[in-house]
Amino acid sequence: MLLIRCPYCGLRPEVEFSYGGEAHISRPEDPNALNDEEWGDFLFMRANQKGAFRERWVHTHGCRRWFNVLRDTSSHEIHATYEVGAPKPDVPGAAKPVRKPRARKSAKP
Amino acid sequence: MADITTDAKALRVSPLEVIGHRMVATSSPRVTINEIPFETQIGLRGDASKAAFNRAVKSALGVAPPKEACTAVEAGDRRILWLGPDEWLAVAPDDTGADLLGKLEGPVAKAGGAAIDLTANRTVIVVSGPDARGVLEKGCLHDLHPRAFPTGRVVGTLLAKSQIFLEKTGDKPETFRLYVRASFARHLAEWLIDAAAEFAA
Amino acid sequence: MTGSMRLAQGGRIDRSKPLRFTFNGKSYTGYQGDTLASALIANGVHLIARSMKYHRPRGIMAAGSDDPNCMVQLAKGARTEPNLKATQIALYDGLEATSVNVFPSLDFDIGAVNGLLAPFMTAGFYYKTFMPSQAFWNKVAEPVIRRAAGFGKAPDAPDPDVYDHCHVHCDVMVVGGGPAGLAAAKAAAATGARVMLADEQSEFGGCLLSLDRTIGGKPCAEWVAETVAELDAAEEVRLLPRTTVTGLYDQNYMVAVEQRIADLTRSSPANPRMRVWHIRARQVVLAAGSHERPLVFADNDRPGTMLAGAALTYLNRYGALPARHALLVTNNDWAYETALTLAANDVQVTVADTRRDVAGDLTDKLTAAGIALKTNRTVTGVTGGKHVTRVTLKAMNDTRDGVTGEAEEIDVNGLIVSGGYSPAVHLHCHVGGKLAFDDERACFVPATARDGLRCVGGTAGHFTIAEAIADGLSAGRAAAVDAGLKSGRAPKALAVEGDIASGAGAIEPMWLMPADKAPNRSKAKFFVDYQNDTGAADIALAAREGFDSVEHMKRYTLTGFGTDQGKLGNINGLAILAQLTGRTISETGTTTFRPPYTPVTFGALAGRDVGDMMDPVRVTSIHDWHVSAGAEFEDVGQWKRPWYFPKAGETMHQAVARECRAARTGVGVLDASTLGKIEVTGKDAGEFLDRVYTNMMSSLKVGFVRYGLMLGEDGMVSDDGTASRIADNRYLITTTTGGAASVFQRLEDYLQTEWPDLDVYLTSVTEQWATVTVSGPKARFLLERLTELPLDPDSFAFMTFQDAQVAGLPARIYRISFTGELSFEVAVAWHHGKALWEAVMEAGHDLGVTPYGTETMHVLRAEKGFIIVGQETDGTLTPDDLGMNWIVSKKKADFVGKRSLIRPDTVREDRKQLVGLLPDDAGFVVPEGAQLVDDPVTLKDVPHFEPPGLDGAPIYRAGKGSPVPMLGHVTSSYWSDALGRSFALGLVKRGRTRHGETIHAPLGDRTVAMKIVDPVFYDAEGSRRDG
Repeated sequence: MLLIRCPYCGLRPEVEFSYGGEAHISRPEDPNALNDEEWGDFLFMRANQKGAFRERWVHTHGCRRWFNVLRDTSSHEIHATYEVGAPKPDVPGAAKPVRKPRARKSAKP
Repeated sequence: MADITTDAKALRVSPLEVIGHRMVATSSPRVTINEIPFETQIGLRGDASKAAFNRAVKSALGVAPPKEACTAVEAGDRRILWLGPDEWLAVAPDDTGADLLGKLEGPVAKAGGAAIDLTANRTVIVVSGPDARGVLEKGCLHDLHPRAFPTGRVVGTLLAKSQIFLEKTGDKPETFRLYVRASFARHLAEWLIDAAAEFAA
Repeated sequence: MTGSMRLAQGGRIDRSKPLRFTFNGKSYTGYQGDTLASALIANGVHLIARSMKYHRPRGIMAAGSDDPNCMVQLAKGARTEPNLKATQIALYDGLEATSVNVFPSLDFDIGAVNGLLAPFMTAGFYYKTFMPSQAFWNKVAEPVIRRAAGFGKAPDAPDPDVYDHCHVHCDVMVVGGGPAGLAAAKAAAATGARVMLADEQSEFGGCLLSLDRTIGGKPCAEWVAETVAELDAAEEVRLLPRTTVTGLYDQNYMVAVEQRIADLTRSSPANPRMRVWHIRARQVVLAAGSHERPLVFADNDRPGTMLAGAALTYLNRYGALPARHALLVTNNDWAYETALTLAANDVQVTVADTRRDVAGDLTDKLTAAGIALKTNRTVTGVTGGKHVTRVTLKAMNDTRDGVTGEAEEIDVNGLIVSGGYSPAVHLHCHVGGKLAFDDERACFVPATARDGLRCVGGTAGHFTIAEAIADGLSAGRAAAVDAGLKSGRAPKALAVEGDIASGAGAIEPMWLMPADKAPNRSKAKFFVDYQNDTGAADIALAAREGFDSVEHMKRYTLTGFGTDQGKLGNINGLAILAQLTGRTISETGTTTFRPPYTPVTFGALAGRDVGDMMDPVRVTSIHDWHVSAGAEFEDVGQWKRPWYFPKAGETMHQAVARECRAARTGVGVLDASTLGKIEVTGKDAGEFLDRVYTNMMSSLKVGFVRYGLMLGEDGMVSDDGTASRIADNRYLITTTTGGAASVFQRLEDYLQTEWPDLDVYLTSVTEQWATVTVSGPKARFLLERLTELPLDPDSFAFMTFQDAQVAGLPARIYRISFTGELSFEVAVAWHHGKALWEAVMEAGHDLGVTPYGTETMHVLRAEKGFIIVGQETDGTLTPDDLGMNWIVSKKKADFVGKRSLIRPDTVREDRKQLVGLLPDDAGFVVPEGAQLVDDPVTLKDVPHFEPPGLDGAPIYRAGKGSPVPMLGHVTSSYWSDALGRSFALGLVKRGRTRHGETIHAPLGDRTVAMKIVDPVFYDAEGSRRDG
C-alpha cells in the first residue's frame, strides 16, 4: 500500500485517497466550439503512459482536496505531488517534458 | 437551527444509545469507550486569510480557526478542528447549539464563508486509556505513537472502513475522540467493542 | 529405526514437561520446546509423507519453513489444517497429526504405483497425455489426477477461529532474530529508535540455538538470552516471536503473520489465533539468514536423508539424534561441524567430500574425532524404501563429470547432505532487488542497494557468526541514524569464537553429482524439487523441448511451486539448467520471488472482516423501530433499508400489495433518511447548480423545490434528486442513496479544479437530517394532527417546503411526491427521527397508517413511470432515451454533458428507449433483466452455454437457430395492486415508436409476449398529487 503526500495533510495511506485519472485535461471553456472529434478526444482519449505520469488524486477521507501527482506507473515511485493550479514539477532526470502537450486549442495550460 | 424546546430535547435518541451499555461493559482500566452524544457541531467554511472571517469565528468561539493543517485549537469548552484548507469543525457542549449557530451564521456568511449545523450529522466516541492506541491500531493506518501523533492532532481517515475525524486530546492517559457519521456509528462502535476485547478486565 | 533417539541430556527442550501426541493414530511423547518434527525424530520416526506425483516415501530434510516434504494434516473437524510442515508445528499436548496424500495408509499407499510408472510420467506428462480432448480432461482425467495428486484436505466447515490485524509503524524493522538480527536490533535500540524484531520461530536466536559459539566471551545461548532480555526491557522495542514477515512492499511496508495460539486453545476476539501485522518502517534490516541446499544424486529423497544444518539443529537444540550410523556428503567446509558434533554424540560418522582437497585443519579435526574422510566422491545410489539403509559411493573421474573405480557401499541409517547455502533473499527481491551470483561462495547475493533496506548476515552471503554479528551491529545503528535518530556511541564490537572459516575453497559447487547413468537414462530419481517430484531428468527434458528460460522451465517442471516455493530446490534446478544449456548461472538467472514467503491461512488474511464486520452496515435513526416491526431488509449500498413489513403469515407479495394499497387509498409512511443530502452555499450557488444539472436551478425561488437530473460529461444520466432553495445563497440538494458519495466528490472536483473562481461551498449533511415520507390520500389529514401549519394546497403548494414544528420537533416539510399521491416529506434532526416516526404512527393509527419499504416504493414509482437511476439506467442512457427531454434546458449555453447530447452516437435513431411493458399473461411477473427479442423463440433453439463443468468453464451447446437480435431488456417488473395485473418498465430499441407492438421475453422454459406501451401506467393526468 502506497503512502501519498497530500499537499495539504502530508503523507497519508493510499486508502484515504481516490484516483482521478490523467491530470491537466481541462474541461473546454466552450464545449460547443469543439467538433465531434475534438470533443470525443476530450471525453475518451488518455495517454495511459508507462513511466512518469501526471495524474489526479483526491484526499477523499481526509481534507477532500483534489491535487496532482507525478508518479512512475511502472515503479509506483511518486516523484512529486502538487496543488491544482501549481506549476508542474519536473520529472527527475528527464531532459524532455513527460509528454507532448496535445494539440487542443481549448486546453488550459 | 430552530430553538429546541425542552420536550424536544428529551425526545432525542443518540446513535449509540442502544449499545451504550455494551461499550461500558467492554471498558476497563486499560481502555474505556464512551459516546458523547449531542455535542454541538458546526461546519465552518471560509477563507482563513480574510480577517473578517477569523474575527467572525473568534468572536463566537473565543478562538480563530487553526491555520496549521491537521490540528485543533481549544478555548475553554469549545474547540475548532482543522478539516481542510477552507474547512473546520467547531465543537461545543450540548447546550450551546442554537445560540452559537446564531452568532456564527450571519457574520461568517458576511465574511464570504458558511456556518452549517452538523450537530446530528456525527456523534463522538471517546477512546481513552493506556491501551487506547492498541485498540485503534487494529484498524487505523496512522502512526499513533506520541512521537508522531501528539495531542492536538486531527486527521480525517478511515477506521473500520468508516470515515472519521480522529482527534488526539490527551496523553495521560492517551485519549482520542472519534467523530463518526451517525449512520456508521453503530458499526464503528461494534468494531471498537470487538477490538477492545483483548484489553477487557 | 526404533527405540528412543532422544539424548539423555542437552538441547533446549524442557524434559520436565512431557507432551503426548499422535501421528497417524499412533501415540508418542515429546517435550515442551519440541517441534512435531523433532519429537518424531526423537521417537525414531522419519517416514512422514508421500510425495505428490510418485507417492515416494518422504521424511524430514530440514528444520524450518524450508522443508519440502514433511507435510501433515493437523487437528480434526472444522479446525483441521492441511499441508502444515512438521518442522514448523510447535508440539502441544494432545496434538493429532496425520500424513497427507496417502491412501489407504502411509505405509501401504496405492498411489505408489505411480512410482513404477515414473518413466512415463515426465514433466508435461499430464498435459501431453490428456489435454488433446477437452471433454476427457474435464470429466475424467482432471478429477482422477486431482484425487491422486492433491495434498491435504481442506476443512469442510467454517473456520471457528478468530484472527485479527494490527497496523504499526517503527523506525527500524529487523526481519529475522538470528545473530545478525539480534545484533541489529540491539544497536538500533541503543539509539532510542522505535524498533521491531520479528522471527518465525518461537525463540529468538536463529542458528545460535543450534551452534556452539562464544560471543563477547559468553556462550552464544547466554548472549542470546541477555540480548533478548535487554530488547524486551527497552520501551520502544516490540519483539514478535512466531512471526513470519511474508512480504515486503513499496515504501518499506511489510505484512507479517504472528502465530499467537499454537495449540487447541479456543481463540476469541480477546485472544486471536493469529495476528497479521501491517508494518510501516522507515528502515528495514533483512537478517533472514540462509537456506542450506541438498545435493542432487541418485535417489536423494530416501527418508533418513537430512541437511547437515538441520541435523545439527535436531541434535543441539532438541536433543534428538537423527541417526546412529551416518554418512555426511558435502561439497563445503561448513558441514564438517555436523560431522564433528555427531561424532561427539557417539554417532559413527563417515564423511564423503566431493572436493579433491580439504583444508588441513578440518582433516586434522576429523582424524582426532575418529571420522573417516573420503574425498573426490559422488553418491551413485541409495537403498532403503522407507528409510535409508545403504549408500553407494564412487570416485569421480578426472573431468569430474563421470565416475571411476569400484563402488563402495556403506551401511547407514542416516544420510546427511550439504550442498552449500543460499541467502534468504526473498524479501529483497519482493521489492525488485536484483541478485548476482557469487562464485566464491557459490550462491546468489543481493546486488542492488535500495534506500531504507539493508541485507545482513546470511542474507548477504556472510555465513559465519562473526560476520553476521558485525553486519548486524553496524546496519542496526546506521538504520536508526537514517531513520532520524542520533547515533550516540558506536556499539562495542563483539568477538566471536568457534566459526568454521569461510574463505576461498570453503565450497566447490557440485550441482549434479556424477552417476553411473545420466538422470534421463537412470531408473533412479535425481530429485531437485522434492515437493513437486521434479528431477534432473525433467529439467533436461524441459531444456531439450525448448523451455530453456528459467521461467519457462519453472512452469514446465513445477520447480519452485508449492508450499515451500522451492526454498531447497530452486538454485540447484537453475544451476543444472545452466549447465545443460551451456550458460553461466548468472546468465540463467533466477525466477521471480513473490510474496508470501510462507503460506498464509485464509482466515488470517480476512482478520475481523468477517460476518457483520465485513463491511459497514449503515442504519437510519429509525432502524430499531423497523427491526421490532418485523421488517425484512434490503441492502442499498451499505445501508440496510426496510424492504417490506410483513404481517404474521403474509408472503412478500401479499405484504407489498397491502402496503401499495395503503399508500394509494389511505396513508403510507416511508423512512427516506438514506437519500444523500448536500448543502450548497455561496453567492454563486445557483450558477454552480445550473452548470451541473440539466435544468435551471438559479431561477428557483426561495421556498421552492425542483427535480433535477445530472449527467456525466458523456451525456449519460448519472444521478437525480431535488434542489430546494433555502435562501438566496443557499440550496439543499438530494442525491440517490447509492450515489451520495460519488456525486459529492464529483461536484467538489468541478468546484476545485474547473471552476475555482465560483464562490461556492459544499457540505455533506446526509446524516444531519432524518426524513419521513407520509404519502397517500389521507396524508394531509394525518399530518394536520401533528402540526399547526396549514397544509391545504393553497397554503402549501406542490414542490415547495416550509419550516414548522411537527410533533413538537423542529422540522422542515417538503411537498414532493415519488408515488404520485399527495405526499409530504418531513425532515428533522437525525436524533429526532425515531420520535417523529413514532408520532406519525401513533397519530395515524386510526387511519390505518402503514409503514412501507423499498419494494412498495419501487412499485408505486414504476406505476407512475418514474425512473430509478441505477435500475432503469446503467450509464449508457441519455435524458432523451428516458423520455426526459422536458428536463433538459434549451436556454442554458452549457452544462455538464450538454455537448455530448449532440454527438452522432447519442442522436442515433435506433437507441434504446424507455417503454412500459404489459405481459399478455397479466398474472405473470417477468423477471427483471429478461432480454427482449422480436422472434418468439425459446432458449433451447438458440446456441447457448450450459452451467460450468468440473473445471469451471461453461460448456457451449449448439442450437437450431442462429443468435437472435437482442433489442433490449426489462429493467423493472412488478405486480401492481392498483392495476390488478403485472407490468414492467424496459429499454427497447426505437421503443417510443413501437407503442402498441408486441415484443417477447425468452425465459428458457417459456417465452412471454408483452405489449409495448407508454411508461406511465397510473394517473397519467396527475390528478392525485393534491389529494
